[in-house]
Amino acid sequence: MSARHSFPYLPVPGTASVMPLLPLRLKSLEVEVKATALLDSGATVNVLPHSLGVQLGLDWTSQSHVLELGGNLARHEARGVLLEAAIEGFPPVRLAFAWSASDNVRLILGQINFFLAFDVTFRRADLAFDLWLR
Amino acid sequence: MSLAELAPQLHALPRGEKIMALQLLTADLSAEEVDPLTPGGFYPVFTPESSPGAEEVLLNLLREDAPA
Repeated sequence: MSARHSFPYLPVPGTASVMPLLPLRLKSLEVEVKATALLDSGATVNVLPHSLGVQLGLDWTSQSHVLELGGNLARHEARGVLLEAAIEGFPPVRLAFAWSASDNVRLILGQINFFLAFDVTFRRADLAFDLWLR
Repeated sequence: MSLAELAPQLHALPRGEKIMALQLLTADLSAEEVDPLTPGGFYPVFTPESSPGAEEVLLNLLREDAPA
């Protein structure tokens, strides 16, 4: 088991809420982008908003892995893509994302495959969560 | 003191104290969430649960990417 690292809950811009938001760097073949992802244990999959995929240099038309998403993303097409994610304190990990055609969504880290790669404890009362690599 | 005046001092803090400052502020914000559910309020839920087949597609992508 890897070392455990703690991260603070962060304010959600434009609201009075705080959420388990994780700063990370996403990397495609050629481009690296800093982002903040929501840890969502209720999400079946990781989700990449459309504009973030474009920033990473991904080409929608060349993605052949077609996905269907549920919830309020059900009406939007999605494609499966692989990215490298660098999180402070951990070696880079490969994460598979459902790249949505919509921007009406956060960058989400869900069960496949963030929660397969990392164990997480949420400590809402302490406004912190802990991660360790499996 | 305004945020513009505070910002240089916050930037100069060591990493540990920056996190403590964040936690202090998030605790303040959290305390303000006394009644977070306002009638008629808009509360987006992004969770894509029950995504049919999406898990399998992504798991296959990861399997194909794994070193032999």
